[in-house]
Formats: sequence, structure tokens, C-alpha cells
Amino acid sequence: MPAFVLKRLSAMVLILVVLTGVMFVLQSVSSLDPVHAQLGAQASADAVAARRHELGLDLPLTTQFWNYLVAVVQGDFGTSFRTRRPVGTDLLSFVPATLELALAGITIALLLAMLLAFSTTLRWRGAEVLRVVLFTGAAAPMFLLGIVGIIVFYQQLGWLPATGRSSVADLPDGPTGLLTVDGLLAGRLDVVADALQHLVLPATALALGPAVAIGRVLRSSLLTDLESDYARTGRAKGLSSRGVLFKHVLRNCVGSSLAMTGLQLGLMFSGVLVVEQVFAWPGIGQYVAQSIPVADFPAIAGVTLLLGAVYVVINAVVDLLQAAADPRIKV
Amino acid sequence: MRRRPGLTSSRRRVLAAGAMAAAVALTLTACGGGGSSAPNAAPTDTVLKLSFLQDIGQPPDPDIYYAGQGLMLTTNTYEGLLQFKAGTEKPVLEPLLATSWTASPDNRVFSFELRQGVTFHDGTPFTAAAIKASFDRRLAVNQGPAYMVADVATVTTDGDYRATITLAEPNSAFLDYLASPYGPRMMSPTALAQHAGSDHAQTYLQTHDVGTGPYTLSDAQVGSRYALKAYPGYWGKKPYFTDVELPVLTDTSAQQLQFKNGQVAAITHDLPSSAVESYSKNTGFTSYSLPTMMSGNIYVNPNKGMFTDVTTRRALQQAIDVESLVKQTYFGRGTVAKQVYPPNMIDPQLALQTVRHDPAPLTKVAAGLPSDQKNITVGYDSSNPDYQLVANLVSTQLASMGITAKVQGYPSSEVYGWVGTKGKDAPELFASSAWPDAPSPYTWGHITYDPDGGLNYLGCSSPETTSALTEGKRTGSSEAFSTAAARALETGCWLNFVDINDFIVAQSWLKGVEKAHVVTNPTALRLAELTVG
Repeated sequence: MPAFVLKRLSAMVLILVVLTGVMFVLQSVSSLDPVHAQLGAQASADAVAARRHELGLDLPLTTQFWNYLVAVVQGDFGTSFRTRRPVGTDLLSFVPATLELALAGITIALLLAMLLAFSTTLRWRGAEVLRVVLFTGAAAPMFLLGIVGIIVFYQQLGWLPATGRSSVADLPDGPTGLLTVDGLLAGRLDVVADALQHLVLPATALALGPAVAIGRVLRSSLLTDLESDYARTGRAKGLSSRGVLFKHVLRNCVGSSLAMTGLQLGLMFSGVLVVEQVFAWPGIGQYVAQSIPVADFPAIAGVTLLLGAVYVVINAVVDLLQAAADPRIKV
Repeated sequence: MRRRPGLTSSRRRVLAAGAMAAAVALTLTACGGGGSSAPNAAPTDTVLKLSFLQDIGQPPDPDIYYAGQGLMLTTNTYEGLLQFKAGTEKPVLEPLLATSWTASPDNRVFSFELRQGVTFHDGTPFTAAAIKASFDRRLAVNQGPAYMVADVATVTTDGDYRATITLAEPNSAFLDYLASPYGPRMMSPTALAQHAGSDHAQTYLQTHDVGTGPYTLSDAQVGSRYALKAYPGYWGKKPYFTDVELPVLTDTSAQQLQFKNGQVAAITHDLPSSAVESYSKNTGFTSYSLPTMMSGNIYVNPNKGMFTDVTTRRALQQAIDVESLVKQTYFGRGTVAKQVYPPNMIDPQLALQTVRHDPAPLTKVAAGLPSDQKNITVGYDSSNPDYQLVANLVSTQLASMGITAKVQGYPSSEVYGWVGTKGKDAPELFASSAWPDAPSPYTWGHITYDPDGGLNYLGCSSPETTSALTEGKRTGSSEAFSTAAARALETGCWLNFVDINDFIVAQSWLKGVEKAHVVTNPTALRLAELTVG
């Protein structure tokens, strides 16, 4: 286990350094000018040159790259050109919203995936309808799902809010930044209910694609294992089909589904960028989407590094969970 | 176990296509305008709900903020010595924290009588000492709007309520700077000192304000929500709305849906022109097309290809069918520009843009060029969908004259990057809009036509234009500014094709919108003027 952790940490460092390098190269070939974007139309040539010097943009690219890496190691991700706040502070304020959305999304995805897999495997009534709905949803682009959700459930039916994380003005100042958790900790059920209401549409739009992907892998594993010798033996001994499925087959099939879940969770963070735009969700997706047009490089780099790290960590955790679920897998 | 047959791929495709068609139909139904909607009810809690489309992009600190929609925050929380009257078509100076003023004939010395009984939001009384402290802070922060006080040589006070400002050089635009929405605002010296930190209170002013305005900043969550609360100690008329909420929305469709559902009281900016016509006809809401100083321009790159020749640039000015561009793009929110300067800036008889539409000269030039020199790029400001349409229309017009034009969008950070590079990375033509910081022709002329101007994207200038502008800055002479405009027009580098109005749509119960609108302050309203009726 320590060797596994060490190996993954080394890989993560390498990946993040390469990612940062790629970003610096892209920045250098890009024609976007952060200094003019900051100082505006009236800025004099002297003011532009002074700001360029202040930001270190007049240094050679390799020096900028090294300085950035040294600063990041010390926990300094620079200051956002747009918000004028340290990027670390910005990330801390935007990440909880994204995390809450992603967690809600993966929860819904897992529930739907299991429903899809079990219903089609056990021939439940309505399974075909569920399959059609999920496959149609997964086939549609995320932004379209979001827009349709808003029109149907916000505009036409008026059941769910269309944008933002909350309608409550006096939100509790909780330790996690997750409104559902902080609301519970503060005993504010109104905040929790309101936050859940706001989560339904974006989290579902985010979840449909991964739900089908995970559900298909699980279903395919279940069907294969239900035809295997040990399952047949179980049934011959008098176990019901459901008993065989839930007591024996499921455990063997979890591994492949976990791998797909990890992959989908990683991909979900990129899907979040789209969903956050449609639902005005104040997370890192919105943060980076607004940073790109103004060439806010520290903000873009901070989000990229964070997502890179999250992706590597999720994959490592999935490997560990797979090993825990299936003793044949060694880490 | 028998494998259950799944849906065939063709059935899946049919279902998916059906779902998408239904979604598109629903979208079109929802976004299609026209007709009428039942009026939404007025709020009973004196809370006004508006919204921002995308985050304001910079902190609501008046010494930093230098963009558009965030003026709603800075102009309602801070006040300057002067302001421009609301509800007028032309900019008219009026008192604010100064009750009267005089300017010396040489535009160097400006004296002010100050308003008494004013307090900053931290309780500090407003006195003449705040002027120098506010100017000094602006210079120390040294962001985009700092240039407005860069020429201030001295600020002397005579008691608490008299001050004299002396400039190092004459500037006929200085009073306009003081009244500009981007101009120096008065800030509490006590609060600035108390929260100075290591950055002249920049961190503090990201989430607070230290002004004297009718509202105070009560919440500022970047990317999520801003809010204002009426300041109980305000010296002027008490606002009707005690709270103003401004959530950040990221999409104009979402903004319009919330507006139609009554969650948002008004949309004050960035409504796409395609929505303008439908709102204008919708009797369930009230729409306003209000004067601004915003104009749309086509910039011509004198450093590239066929347009290095001044005759060809002038032929291009003639070739563009401006009437058609405005008609097809702006509906009820724009009119064909008649002057070189933005609208409402200078006497309508001056600085006239005398370009007659005639595609023949450019057609002739194009016919004489080898085929590889007839390909150009028409760029547009990608933050505004209207300009994509303008660029497409221009490229279509040019095609009929034998010129092949590719259309490409550019983000503002890239556009600003062209400044000072002689347009080497810029397209041959570029379409975008802008408005002046202050309503002085010098301010506009300098940033647009001078070689070091911040909006001189494509590096075009002429010594005659610069000379006339310098003369105008010193004397304030309208004739000098008119001459500068004529010389700029002769370069063939600019074509002001449209005067653009602010198009605002509001719930029918929201009253006072016209009285709250200021010609120099696009996208913002004086919130204290709004009420329910």
C-alpha cells in the first residue's frame, strides 16, 4: 500500500508539472493580453509596461515557469487578474459549489445506474421505459438537457428553481461550504431543502450520461456472471434469482462498475463546466469560463492544476476500492 | 438466463431525435417573444430584484472598476463632486457633493463649494479633506481610471467645505472627468486609513464600500451574488427600495426566463437585439430605448493588404451599406450614426460623417487586384452577438464587390493586445462598440485617434488629427474637435455606423426607469429613483 501511494503521488506530481508546462506554452503562443484586459482602454504604454513587469510577464518563459512552480509548491497560486484575489482563496470559495454538484450528480448517476442494471436484469416492469428515457437523456448534449429541464420544471411546471445554489439570503457560514451539510450542521432545514431543490436539475443533467455508462457496464457484468457456473450452482441449490444476484453475483461485478464510476466522476468535472454555465452555478466551471476571455492565466492554471490533481486522486481511490471489493486485485 | 433484446440502434436514434426536436420546440416556444404576457405582481417587501449577466468581472471599487454592468454598484454606492443629470438626452453637469463650481478660463484651476451634512457609510462626515485622500488613493491604486487625476498638481482647502483643484496642464475635460461614472469618487478617509492594509484598502473594497451614495454594498460574492442596502443616513432623497438583490446569471435565456416569471424586475443590459423586437411588442412588460453615448464602429487596418492604400480605405467606407447593417441588426435600439463622434457628445451640426454609400469605387479597386489579395478577415468583438451579425453582413456586402471575407470573433483581451503593435496580428476589418469614459470629445478622440490611444486597436493616426485634439483639450473648442473628426475620417480608418441606445425591459409595475437613466452611464440606473406604481 505505501508503495502504491508513493507511486501515485509521484505520477501526480509529474502529471501536474507537465500540465503546467503545457499551459505556459499555450500562454506564450496565445495572443490574449492579460495586461490590457486589466488596465482597460485608457492605459498608457508606461502603465502597461509597468504592470507587465510587476506581473513578471516580461521575464523569459522558462523563468516564469520556474517561478510559478516554486510559488505553487509554497501554496501560492498567484492572484487572479480578474477578481484581484489570491487564486487559492478563489478556489476555496468556488470549489464547494462544484463539489456539492458533482457529489449530487454522482449519487444520482449511481442510483439510476443501479436501477437501470437491476431492472433490465431482473425484468422489472417499466425497465424498457427507463432504458429509453436514460438512453435518450445520455444521447442529448448536456446543455440541451439543462435547457429542457429549465423550461419544463422551472418555466412550465414551476416546481424547481432554474439558476444558482440557493434562494435563501442569510446562509449559514458553515465549515464545509456545502450548503446541504452546513445547513444540517446549523439546524437550518430551510437551507437544506432549498439547496436540494436547486441541486435537482443541474445534478440530473450532469448524471444522465454517467448513469447510462455505469449502468451498462454493471448490467453487462451481471448478465455475464448470472450465466456463470457458480450462479447456476446457486440456483440449483434452491436460491432465487434475486438471491443469487444480490448475495453472490453483485460483489463480483462491482469492480468493473467502480472503474467506470471513477472514470465518469473524473469526466463529470469537465461536464460541470457546461452545466454550471447553463444553471448559473457559482463553481469552478463558471470561474474558469469567465477567466478565459480575459486571459486570467493564474485562475486558469489554478483550476487546471486542481482538476488534474482531482482526476489522479479519483483514479487512485478507485483502484483502492476495486482492490477492497475484489481480493484478486492487488495494488 | 436469456439475454433480453435491447433497443435497436435505429430505434434509439429515432427516440433521441424525437426528444431533441421536442426540446428545441420547447426552447423556441419559451424564447419566442411577441404577443403579451400577464403582468407580474409588484413586490410588497421593498426588495428590488435585478441581475447581472456574468460576473461584473472586477471588484466594485471605483478606482479599479473600468467595465460596464458593475456601474450599477459603483454609481449607487459612491458619489463624486459632480454628476450628469438623469433623464436627459445630452450630458448636462449638475451638482452632487459639490453644490457649485467655477473653472478658470485656461481650464487649469477649479474651485468647489461642498455640500454640508453628508456622511460616509462608516459615519465619517464628508469634508474637503476627502478630496485629496480620494485622489491620492486613486493614484496609488493606479488602475485604468487613474489617468483622470494624473494631472492634478494641488488640492487646497479653505475650511471644511471649500476646495480648489489645480492641474499641471490645462484640460477642458476635467469637469467631465469629475462627473464621469468612472471618475474619482469621494471615499471616507477614515475608512481608507482603517482598512488600508498593504494594498490601499483594495482587499476591503472587494466586499465593502466607503462611499456616500444612497446604497451601501451589503453582499459581494464573486460569480454568485451582489446586494445593496439603503443607507439610512443618506443626505438626499430616501430610496423606495430598501434592498436590491443582484444575483449573477450566466445566460441571457435564463435571465429572460426569470424576468418573464417575475423573479427579476428588469433587464437593464445586454439583451440581444434579436429579443428587442419581441419585448417592444409585448404589452405585458414596459420597454425603454434610452439615449447613451455608445456607438458601433468598423475599424480598418491601414497596415495590411489592400487597405494600406488610403484611397481603398475611403472606398471601403463608401462601400459599406450602413442603413442596411443598422436595420438588420439593431431593430429599435440603434440609428444610423450621423457624426464621427459617438452620439450626444457634440453639437449635431459639427463633426459630421459625410460618407455617401457607393459600392462602385471598391468594386473597381477589387477588380484590379490579383485574386490572392482579395481575401480579408472581418473581425468582431466576440462578447457581443450583435457584432457577429454585423461582421457577417459586411462580408456578404463585400462579396458582391468581389472581395472574399472570412468572419472571426476575438475576445477583448486579444483585441486590447493589438494596441501598439501596428495591427500586425489584427484582421483587416474589425467591428465593435464602445462608449467614452466621459462625454468630452477629447476623451473619445484621444483614445480612438491618437497614436497612443487605448482604443486605437489597429494603429492608425494622423498628425493633423492629434494636433487638433491637443488644441481642443487646451481650449475646449468644439471647432477644434470638429476638425479632428474630419481629419480622422479622411484617413479612412474608422466608420462610426450606429448610435446605440440602452434597451431596458421592466415589469410594468416598476416606475422611474427613465428618471433613473443617465446618458453617460450605460447599463446602470440610479436605483434611488425607482419605485412601484
